[in-house]
Amino acid sequence: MRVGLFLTCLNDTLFPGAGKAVVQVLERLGHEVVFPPAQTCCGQAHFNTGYRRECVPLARKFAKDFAGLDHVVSPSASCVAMVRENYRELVGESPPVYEFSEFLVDVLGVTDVGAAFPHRVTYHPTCHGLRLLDLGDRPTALLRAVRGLRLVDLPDATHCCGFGGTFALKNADTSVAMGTDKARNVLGTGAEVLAAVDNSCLMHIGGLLSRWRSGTRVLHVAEILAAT
Amino acid sequence: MPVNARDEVLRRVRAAIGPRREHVDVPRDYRRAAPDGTDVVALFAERVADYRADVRLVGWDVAAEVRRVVRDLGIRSLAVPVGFPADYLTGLEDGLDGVGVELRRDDPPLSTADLDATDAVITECAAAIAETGTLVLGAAQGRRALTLVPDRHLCVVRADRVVGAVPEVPEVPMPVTWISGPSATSDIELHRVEGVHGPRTLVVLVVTGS
Amino acid sequence: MNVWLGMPPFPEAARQALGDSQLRANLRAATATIRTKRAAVVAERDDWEQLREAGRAIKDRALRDLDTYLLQLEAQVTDAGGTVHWARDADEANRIVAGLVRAAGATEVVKVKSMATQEIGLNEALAAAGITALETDLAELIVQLGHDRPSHILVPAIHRNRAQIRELFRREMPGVDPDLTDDPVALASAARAHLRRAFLAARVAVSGANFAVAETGALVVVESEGNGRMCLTLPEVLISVVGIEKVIPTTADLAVLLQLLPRSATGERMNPYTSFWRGTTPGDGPREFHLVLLDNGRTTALADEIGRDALRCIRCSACLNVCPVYERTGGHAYGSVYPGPIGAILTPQLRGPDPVADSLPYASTLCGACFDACPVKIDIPRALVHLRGKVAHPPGERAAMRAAAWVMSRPPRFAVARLAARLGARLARLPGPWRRWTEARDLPTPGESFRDWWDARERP
Repeated sequence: MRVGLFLTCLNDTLFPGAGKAVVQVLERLGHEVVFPPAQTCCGQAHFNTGYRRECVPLARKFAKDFAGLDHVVSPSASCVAMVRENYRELVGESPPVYEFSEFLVDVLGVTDVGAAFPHRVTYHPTCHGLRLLDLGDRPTALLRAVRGLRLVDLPDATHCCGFGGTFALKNADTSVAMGTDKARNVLGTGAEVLAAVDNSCLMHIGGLLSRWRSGTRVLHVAEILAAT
Repeated sequence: MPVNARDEVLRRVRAAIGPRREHVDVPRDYRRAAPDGTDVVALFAERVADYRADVRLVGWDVAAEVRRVVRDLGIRSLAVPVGFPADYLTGLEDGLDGVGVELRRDDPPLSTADLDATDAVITECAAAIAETGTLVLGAAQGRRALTLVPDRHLCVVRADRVVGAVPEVPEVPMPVTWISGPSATSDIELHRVEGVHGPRTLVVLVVTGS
Repeated sequence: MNVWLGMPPFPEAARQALGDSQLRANLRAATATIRTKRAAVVAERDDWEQLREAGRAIKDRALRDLDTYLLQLEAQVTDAGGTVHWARDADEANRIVAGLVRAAGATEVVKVKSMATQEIGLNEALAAAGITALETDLAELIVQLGHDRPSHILVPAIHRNRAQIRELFRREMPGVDPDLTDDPVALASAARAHLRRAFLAARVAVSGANFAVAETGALVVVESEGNGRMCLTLPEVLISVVGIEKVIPTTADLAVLLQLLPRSATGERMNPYTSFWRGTTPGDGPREFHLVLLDNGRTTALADEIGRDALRCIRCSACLNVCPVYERTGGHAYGSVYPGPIGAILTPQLRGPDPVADSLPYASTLCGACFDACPVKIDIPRALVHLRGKVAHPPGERAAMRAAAWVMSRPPRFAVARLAARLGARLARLPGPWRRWTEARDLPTPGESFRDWWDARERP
């Protein structure tokens, strides 16, 4: 299958590992990955901050960049939710985008992607993956199939981490208070790695874990699935 | 003001809705009754007991159970609404079973001060809702103040008045009061505690016999 | 709308609240308790989603033909011996109520907890007219005795724990037992004793209503303590101030909402007391009944096709109890009688623009927990985003957002920005608005960029 990669501007800039991992997993499963190089940003931050008008050209550009692809996959639940939930209303069309774990489980029908990752991992279901995309147990089903991986439950897992896009800056104090509770719960699990399907949330929680010199790493689920 | 408030508010409402009014269907596929086979009387007794009401199942001799409640709670005066069945009060005034209680009939109406100085009130209910453990009192069960001011409320619930679910409640002439357990509050740390301004004790006598 | 003077915009008010560790502990304990209870009673209903959908449709239907239902309600209430008044705004409603109290020859009124009367600042308006308003709901009493502000729609004193309430009662309640313990049962008993005389002597009561049924003219008040029944039953004159969005079409509709509300609010299958009345009834209850129908910004919200969803709200507070922001900041930070997620979309619409109202649509991470919990399916995140588009944006932010959109519109511009950002991420402290990020959080240190890696592997 020929699959378009929608990397997202955040991964493109600060989290190169997620995109590489998506490519590696899909190619290992025998699929061809296409990366339209003109892609930039879906406009989520603009839309969610109240700059709807500024978002329209980005949505049009997105449709152009990914034209002709039957399947577009992305390692960001919130950007996928942005395209799926809002593009039809913004520009009248919503390209067929899938969040990575959703694509693997629902479209390709696989949960064991042949990965090995002998570490203790806990999983944070990010809000847009949980409530807008209804990812359910897809990401954890994929993680459970990874050889050597020990998945431990995260207390209050469904509580928001406090990132919230521009909320992290506009309401930085509240954002950090929420993130602190989340990061403490992560540390309480004794996990070596916190995994999620959105690097924006991981940038926030991981930013705290790093500042605290905790030694706990954050990884995108795709990066774990790419490990052999 | 040039325009009266009523006309102005209605004008604003109409302007806000606009000329196009799209039809809204209300889907009614929620449960309209308790599931088939539900023992509604047993469920009612269980659910009302959950609110820490004092629930007593009675076969046929309601009066004997009323006397027992009066004795157990040490009730000396009991308000009785107009129309309350006399059968249920047999022996209360005669000292039967060692009970001596003054019946205060609400005819002519008892004053609020009288009610405040009355130990308890006894009523029937127009209906009872099993799923929620709720008593439905209407105008026929007496004035609202009767079941409000005295600190104890005894309610006789005939089995044939118990319905399964909220949508099954029959039309009852207003004013209507739904009572689900004794007076309570969750205002302190969101923990429910019983007993604030309404009756602090609710005794429910569920009549299962005929 | 009642503006809490002197309140800063949300981010600053939240910062202050976050520093109060007692407040955070009280809120965490209380909201966790109520979340557990709600989840248990909601799980009992296998038709919960159908009930929610019906609840949504009922309120939408009422709003779609609001003029018709208001007129039907007015006719029914009038037919049953009540008097209906209409109020365009808070001042008009307050004038009507004060006039009615004066006409009854009273200088004191007992009050049932009512969001509408808080919204219009009725107590303050009555005080200015020489009338004392006595709050009778336990939590409202705690707020009133403490010269405090409510911080939750359903449990206005949620920010206080039992020990704090005991101290308050010992200090402010005349004649209270000096050995009063902090057992909630004892505290409730103290409130009972304190208010008993007032109930038995009151001549005028003021209430709101949870619902008004157009078909029958029934007003409905949902409560727990019996203070509502006291106010609705014992005084000679009853005045109910009710927002125009409280009208619903039929008794069958009421049966749906009365199943949704208690489970969502206090996590009970049914609340202890629900009162239904129609005008006046000879020999039972008040001789006079006045219904004040209140607009006060509601028609402005109704005119907004997305914002109007907020008018479906039945004031259950489920959205507050599940909100991770509310749980950290408490209700006072929202600067309004309507806190939490619903307040963040209701306050700006009812009150109109000001720095506090403009900050409220941003008091959310858009996590969506409120939407899931809402018994009438108000898509609060969608309304928040919509309102963010309507409030005044800081000029610097607007410029930055436009610049970002300009950058993202052309791949070469994005390439330069990517490079700059990757270099910037190496700084321990970022400049400008990004400063707030690095105060508490590190940034990742990315290795080889995806594009370099991709280009290298395609052309080995």
